[in-house]
Amino acid sequence: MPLDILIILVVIGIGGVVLLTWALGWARPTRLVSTEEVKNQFRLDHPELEIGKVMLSTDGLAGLLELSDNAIGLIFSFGDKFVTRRLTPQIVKSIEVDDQAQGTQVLMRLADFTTPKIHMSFSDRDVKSLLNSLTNSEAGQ
Amino acid sequence: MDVMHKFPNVTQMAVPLFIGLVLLEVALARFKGTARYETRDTLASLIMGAGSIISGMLVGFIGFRSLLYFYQFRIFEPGLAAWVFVLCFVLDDLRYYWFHRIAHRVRWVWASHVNHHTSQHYNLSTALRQTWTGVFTGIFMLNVPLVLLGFHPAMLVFVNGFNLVYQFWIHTETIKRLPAPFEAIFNTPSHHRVHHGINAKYLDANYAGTLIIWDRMFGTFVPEDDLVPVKYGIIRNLATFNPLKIAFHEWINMLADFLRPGLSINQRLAYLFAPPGWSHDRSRRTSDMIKADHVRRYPQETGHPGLPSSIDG
Repeated sequence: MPLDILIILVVIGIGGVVLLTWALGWARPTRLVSTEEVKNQFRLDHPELEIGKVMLSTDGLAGLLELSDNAIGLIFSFGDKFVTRRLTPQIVKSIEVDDQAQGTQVLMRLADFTTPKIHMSFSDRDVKSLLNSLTNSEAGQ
Repeated sequence: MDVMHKFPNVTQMAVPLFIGLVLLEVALARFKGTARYETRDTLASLIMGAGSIISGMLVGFIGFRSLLYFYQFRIFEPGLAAWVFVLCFVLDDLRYYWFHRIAHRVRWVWASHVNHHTSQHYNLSTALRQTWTGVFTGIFMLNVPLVLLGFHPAMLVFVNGFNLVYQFWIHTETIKRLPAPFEAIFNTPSHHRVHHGINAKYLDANYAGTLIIWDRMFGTFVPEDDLVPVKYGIIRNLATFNPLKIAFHEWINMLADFLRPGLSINQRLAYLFAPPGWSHDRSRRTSDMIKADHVRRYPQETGHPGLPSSIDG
């Protein structure tokens, strides 16, 4: 196949398919609707971990979980799926926690270049104490 | 037969077919709900596919020229009869099985192959999420025995193109099961869904390209279990749609592990060549560890297809 035809086909093909999926509304992020769902979705990736307290962000795009092995579970929306991480001080690059009137804002960066910085907002003020185990370590800040 | 054989590039010729079938599956997803697409996931997969074609054009010659060198030492002159192409296809499919098995069990090759598994979706666009770095693994050397048998490297590229095109249509949830005789011999959507699964019992199974008989012969076949819906992706799913990060993330992570301070030479080599998930402090899990954990938690599943035959692993 001539290269110019191949290039045109590929560009039109990619553009057409992607536009179509966007027009069909398949670019909307999925959301967690309950702490039970946070737990269930996290368990799919980490069936071996026991889960304690669970917190759901106010926009439903993320959740934090207290884990039995002293780590913290993180789950966040990624397209129409979820990504989970077991957080320890070694993999957390920085955490900024900001208590505001409308809730607690968390900005987290991981030592993982494939994971973007994560903004979360919680109405549950206990989020600060939950994250203490990560922020009290030297590696956590 | 020293002349360079000129065969059509099957994969490039199939591009209109790929686009047409993706559009058909998108339509089925919309009207019948038999598939799932996500815009950025689809874009990432399609760019990976286009990048793979470009990568093949830019560096594919490295593997091809290397094989041409070995071709001068060929033992037989099988010629270009139809049966030679059929035999070449079957032997190349066997070569593909072993390539694929190695790609899942040796991190050096997994670093290249992993990007095909990085989508949490399983649809026809996922089939196009192909590697950009395959040639750098050196795994093309698995073709050397075929070249020494007298199959010209151009013929190998040609038949492998059919193999890759065959594997395109099996990346779908739209087709549940095909007639039993077909499922017994050929790789099918059902068999390949298992291969893309990260459920404990589905890990490291069904490496076949076209013929599933290789998995049945070498003990890696696991049937799809209707009671265990396949969860797609990789053990530690990526949180990026950036094609550059998808293509190179495992190479970068592997290099970082290799260069960690305080490791022995053996530990450094294990970070390159041990199974994915291996770590010197056992802080990560290999597929074998995941399977062993699973049967410890569910002893009643011990010995089921894809799971260890004893709780001790």
